Amino acid sequence: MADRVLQVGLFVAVLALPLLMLVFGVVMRRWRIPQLRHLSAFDALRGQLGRSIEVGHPAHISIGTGGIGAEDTLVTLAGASIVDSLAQEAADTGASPVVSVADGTALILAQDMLRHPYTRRGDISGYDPLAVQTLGMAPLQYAVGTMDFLRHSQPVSNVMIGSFGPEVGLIIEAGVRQGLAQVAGSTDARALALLYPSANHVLIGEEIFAAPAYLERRPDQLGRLQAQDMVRYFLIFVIIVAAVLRTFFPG
Amino acid sequence: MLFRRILPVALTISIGWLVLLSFLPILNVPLTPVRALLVDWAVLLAAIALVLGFINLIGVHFRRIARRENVVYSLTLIASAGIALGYWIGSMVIDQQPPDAGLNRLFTTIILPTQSALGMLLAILIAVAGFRALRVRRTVGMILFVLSAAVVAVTQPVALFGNILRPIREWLIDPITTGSLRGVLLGVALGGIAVGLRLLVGADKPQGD
Repeated sequence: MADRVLQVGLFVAVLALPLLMLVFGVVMRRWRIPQLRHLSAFDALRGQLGRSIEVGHPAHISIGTGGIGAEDTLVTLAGASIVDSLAQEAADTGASPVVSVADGTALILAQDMLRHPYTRRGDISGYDPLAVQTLGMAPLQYAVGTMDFLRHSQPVSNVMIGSFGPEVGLIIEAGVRQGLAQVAGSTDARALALLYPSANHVLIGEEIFAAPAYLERRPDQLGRLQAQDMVRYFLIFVIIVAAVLRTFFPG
Repeated sequence: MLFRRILPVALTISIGWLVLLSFLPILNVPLTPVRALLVDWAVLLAAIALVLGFINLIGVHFRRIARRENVVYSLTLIASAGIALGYWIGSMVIDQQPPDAGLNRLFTTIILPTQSALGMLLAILIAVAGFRALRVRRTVGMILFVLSAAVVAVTQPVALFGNILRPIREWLIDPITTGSLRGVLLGVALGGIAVGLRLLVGADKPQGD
């Protein structure tokens, strides 16, 4: 009984999500913008490029050690969405961040996102292909490469959002030693345990998927976020019902 | 317009749905061979991307050398990569097969011990980060410190007071950590489903224009 409730609940949630995204997108466009839960990491992210211009050093954004096509594809896409959200401002101000990756597919994705604003305006002379850097091709090698980068390139801040494992502890420690403002987010529990005490702002778990909505605040994105929250509440309700059923009717 | 915007999005959406439908047996449509073919193409593209990543890595270090930023480290990296690549190509040309034994030796004697040593540092880093948290975020840091000390106290090989404190871990700490972890994992799964669906309906377009 409980298993059936869970299966049906998940099926309904998956079917309802695209519909709710559409409906809430229209609602947000026509009526009001909702109050989002305050996440200090996104406030800090918005100021990164401005600080970069003031100080004269680029911001460093890491989208993790994952790539496209593996099991961490969606987390890598979430990290890349930060680059996408900041790319237009970077192109307008000329304060391009340095994006670091550890996978060839993530390299192509990040380069593409940084190049978007330049191709839109029809002039890619301002785009630097080496603004996206492969600093290692395996997690620990990447960590060592990034530690060296933070020490010698002296970025204004260190943003790390994407697929990370425990090796992130080495990078965050290097950032602390350099006195950098650090914003980090991961879905890995081991990485979160290392990030939480050291980073200035931490995005925990699914919060990293909300980046485009928080950074760009377009009505359709906010609508999608509302839809995700609705489906989440529904699934929490389904889980509680299933737990109660399993407790009182174990057969 | 067609090739830059519409075609990449249309391809992504149609291939995404094709692969998704191939996992649904209720449809009774034999899409598994198509999925296998698409996965083969994806593996091929990932291999090409790996080469691009390697070229970018070398390019980054050549630029650092040109700018005189940590020249020794960059030169060492380029030389090591050149030697490993040369060894591999040389073996392929001379022996007509990849030098598995040689490359394995390289891995087990240099890379593996170095990675293990770095991995060991992580335990110390966690302790340092915990003490730092005590200074920066006093309340949260204190909770973190007390719980960490409690876990260490009841875990082997420390296991203070024998097994007297073990119930604390089993009844108090384990449910809290397991419950929190499951909460995070559920949230991530839901967020992942939402991101996947956004790609499948074309609401998100990570591909370029």
